[in-house]
Amino acid sequence: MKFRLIKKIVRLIISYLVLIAIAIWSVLPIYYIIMTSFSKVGGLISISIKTLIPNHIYLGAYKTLLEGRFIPSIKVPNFPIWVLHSIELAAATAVLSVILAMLAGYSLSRMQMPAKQTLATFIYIITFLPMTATAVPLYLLFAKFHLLNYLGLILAYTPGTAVFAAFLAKLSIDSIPPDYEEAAMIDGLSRFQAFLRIIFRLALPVVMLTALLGFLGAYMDYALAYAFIGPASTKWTAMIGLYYLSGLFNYAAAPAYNIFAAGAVLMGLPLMGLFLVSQKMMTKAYSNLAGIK
Amino acid sequence: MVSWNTKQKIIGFLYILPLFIVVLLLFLYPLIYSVYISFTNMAAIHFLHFKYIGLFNYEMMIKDKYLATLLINTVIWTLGSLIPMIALGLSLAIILNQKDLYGKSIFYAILILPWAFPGFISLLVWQGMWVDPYGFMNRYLLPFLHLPHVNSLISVSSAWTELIVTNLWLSFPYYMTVFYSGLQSIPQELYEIADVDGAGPLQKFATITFPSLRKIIAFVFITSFVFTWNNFYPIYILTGGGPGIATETFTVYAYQQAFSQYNYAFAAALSIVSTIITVGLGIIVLKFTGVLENIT
Amino acid sequence: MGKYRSLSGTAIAAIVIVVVIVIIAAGVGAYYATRKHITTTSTTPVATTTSSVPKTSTTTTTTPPPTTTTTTTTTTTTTTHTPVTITVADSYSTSENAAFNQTIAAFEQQYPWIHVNVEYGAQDSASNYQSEVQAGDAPNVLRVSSDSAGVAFASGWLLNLSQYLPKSYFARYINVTIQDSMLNGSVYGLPDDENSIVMFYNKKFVPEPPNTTNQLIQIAENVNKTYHIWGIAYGASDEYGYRFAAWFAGYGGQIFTTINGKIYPDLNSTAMVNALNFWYNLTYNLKINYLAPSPGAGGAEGELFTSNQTAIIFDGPWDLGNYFSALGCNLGAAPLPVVSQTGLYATPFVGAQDWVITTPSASGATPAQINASLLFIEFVTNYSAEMRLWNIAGDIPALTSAYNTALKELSETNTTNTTILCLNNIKKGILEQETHGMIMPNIPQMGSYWSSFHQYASEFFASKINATQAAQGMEQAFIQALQQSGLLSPIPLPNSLYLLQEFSTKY
Repeated sequence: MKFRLIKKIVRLIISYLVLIAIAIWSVLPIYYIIMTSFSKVGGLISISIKTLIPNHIYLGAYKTLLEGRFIPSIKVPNFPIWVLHSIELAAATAVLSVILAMLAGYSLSRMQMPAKQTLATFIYIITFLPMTATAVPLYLLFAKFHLLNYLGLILAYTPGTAVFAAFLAKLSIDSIPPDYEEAAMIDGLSRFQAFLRIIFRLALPVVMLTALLGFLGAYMDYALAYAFIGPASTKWTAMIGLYYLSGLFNYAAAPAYNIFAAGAVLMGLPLMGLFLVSQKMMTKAYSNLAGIK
Repeated sequence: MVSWNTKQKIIGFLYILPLFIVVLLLFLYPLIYSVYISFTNMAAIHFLHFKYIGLFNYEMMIKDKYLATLLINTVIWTLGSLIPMIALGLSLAIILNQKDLYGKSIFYAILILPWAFPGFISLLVWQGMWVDPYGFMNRYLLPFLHLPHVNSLISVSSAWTELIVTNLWLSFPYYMTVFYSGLQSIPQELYEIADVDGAGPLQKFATITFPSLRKIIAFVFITSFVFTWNNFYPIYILTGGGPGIATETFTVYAYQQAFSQYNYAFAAALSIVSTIITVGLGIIVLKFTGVLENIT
Repeated sequence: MGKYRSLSGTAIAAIVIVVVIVIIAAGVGAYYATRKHITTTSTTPVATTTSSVPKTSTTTTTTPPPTTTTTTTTTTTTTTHTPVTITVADSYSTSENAAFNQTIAAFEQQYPWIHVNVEYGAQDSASNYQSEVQAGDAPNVLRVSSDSAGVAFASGWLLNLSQYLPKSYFARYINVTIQDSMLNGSVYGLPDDENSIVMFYNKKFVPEPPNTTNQLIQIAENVNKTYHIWGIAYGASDEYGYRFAAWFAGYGGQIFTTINGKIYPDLNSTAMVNALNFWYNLTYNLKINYLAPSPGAGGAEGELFTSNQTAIIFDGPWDLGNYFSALGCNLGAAPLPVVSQTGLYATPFVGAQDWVITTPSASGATPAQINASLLFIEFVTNYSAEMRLWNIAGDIPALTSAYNTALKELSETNTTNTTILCLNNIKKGILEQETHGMIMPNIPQMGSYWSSFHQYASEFFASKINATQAAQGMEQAFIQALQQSGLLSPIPLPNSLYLLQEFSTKY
């Protein structure tokens, strides 16, 4: 008994040491990002030969972002509006990704149909095409269909997560006994209703993960958003706005990395919230799953 | 009268149809377009008036002495990134999944932080941290660990170290999250039974954890393989493919060809070859690991 | 089962609520932003805010476009004009836009029938517009660097301004900037800014700037010995040949040569070998140059310079603000020194920023829009517009009259304010550099120079190959890249454009 206790203590000590070391490693570059956001000049603090502790805290970069108006036709502070656009886009992408992934995952898991394997492999393999090959034709295609807008962006973001998530959903749905839906369907629910009420609930970790990945992909994207809605500054997302405000589009001014860092911190806040919420959800979903026998 | 069976098949197709349509829209047209462009001279001054030139771009690629280097580099980059990422992600997930570990929410919240920041600024900060001898890594951490300095400008192995460590930082939270979610679906009872049987931690990992996660690991490996293969931002920002072309991968090279040398046709040909290689490797790995049967 | 249901229900409800709240908030925000947007645009007489080409074309065909040919900018016609909207891709930085927004207001006042739809945050590179051009929805007017514009012009999607404006019109710009904006004898852009790298030095360590490379070495060694800091921070291996071209030219090299009217790369020369060895020697043998991994004020070079850890760096005037705020009156700027071995100035590329017009096939422009675009690019490169850019953002004017005024202002400012006096002195040093620059090649072949140079220079500075091998390698890579893009075969271009010569800004 005593031996087991010692073993447990040793195991926990090692666990905590590893976690603390990795946590410091994770946080350090972010510490530099935050310190850069508090600096007065545009340079990156991480190169600085000075100590790790800054000698002054300067809030100018945050002020610029929260209060600054740069585009004459937007009469309110620009950056907060752009962040709202980003959240809106990312949330819509997350919802669409979850719907497409769960539908496809359900089909792959439960339905018997011919050439299923071929179809799934095809869907998967075609996404191997790198961005260097898709960038130009995608623009031309979407321009033709007048989709160089939010709708087009949501459509373009979705497969990035949904294809991957569909297979993850399939794996997850496989582990749910079909008895549950069958019982529900005997109770009078249609297959689709059973899918919505039973499968979504039981596969919640995958749903959350899909939503999270979909949200992240759209929220952090710069290249595609710039290609699609770059010309319309009133519709910009936070990332485009941040590139513009920190002067990364041209050489007429040194990039203001302090502004970019401040923007990254501000953009990171809602994301952190989302991460924490989804983490709770996952744990909850897990305890639910464990409770069922 | 449609039989029940046929109806089920149609419903099955209906469920997968939305995803299928979106994927076709986003990838099939670009694929056909890129194949077409790779047979033309769509470059710089011929941008608007290009013509069919047959296999010229592919011939140039074979004559191009870089092709073998690019392939080797891309494999180093992909495997060199993936193996540490999966190892670290899995280790952290297992550590976090211990029932008697307190504060796991706090640690999890801290460990996913790298994921919550735009990669661009993180890469720039990392670039600063690697500056030799001023940045954090070369000034504090490496000397503290009695490790040699890392300077990607003067040594190829340094350049790879810099790229892989930075990419590990950028990506490990994702692997940790996926594996953590996966671990949580393993019934705790299995471990309790193993405890009663007197199984050690390694034995439990080998008999319970790994078999339960095998599918997910294989699956994550394949999907991430392609993602990492095509991911070029870390290389593009940190080393620019240097020194020389020692860290240049297919996608970085294609990107430079298309967007700084205006040679879209050659970039398209490179992308097609790269895609063919990934598809080939992908199918082999899918078959080999049996993941194909599991995911379809 | 019951407990499980209620818990899961809460979870789903929470997600739905969060998503709905976020969407509503974003919707309200977006509505708020667009509502404000519409109210502002409605104050201008033109209702169309986007470049809806079909709409304007149907109305403009009924009445002839403004008869004013664009040879003069001063004509303010009293005849009624059909409203026309042009889209303008604006690649200015936020500080430059403060000046540009004033210019646009003045333009719309002078030409009330023209509405300018500004696309902020445009990028200063031709490759960003290529897919727009192919889709036929490119902006009417762009501001891009002269070399990118050269590629675009050679590809046939920029208007030949020589067909619309008399030759005399172009004489008002500083010679180098108009040379930068000219291909095959045809002018494709009106410049509003010229720039090149200069030598920034810290007067705390270097009271007088070096005039020759021998002095440069001597000063750097002194600084190194006395203050134990770097003499120079120049990341020769991190760059793609933009800054190195100055040293290459100083050793007598040129990037292109012509053989029987065909353009060939000319990197495999003793000049390249000498220039590479010069920097290798300073870096590895004398240990007075820090091989920095990232350039500019945001990179390692600038970070060392602003923290007094290096005495000299080579950077453009675009980073002046950062350096001046860090070093104040200790900051000095001077032309790059003369290479002692050859007696030639190290001559950096002088690039220009051009206002260009896309062809109707690229943008779907109507004749009225083309006319309005011409009026626009003339207006934004006129004296008051370029002076505004100089005064507000410090852009060096490309218009001779504005350049001269700027120079005069710097010498004649009657002030006791030491900050202004210091800044004026620095700016004088920067303007002086513009007289020792060379045209930045704008032929499409130039696109293959950068990565060819980078590949072998970075290998050389990693001590993997010697300078001779590096020069041979970059030449071969260059030729191969040109072969791949079909640019090795002759393109009808006059020789005078790509022969690199030192020039003076006298016109």
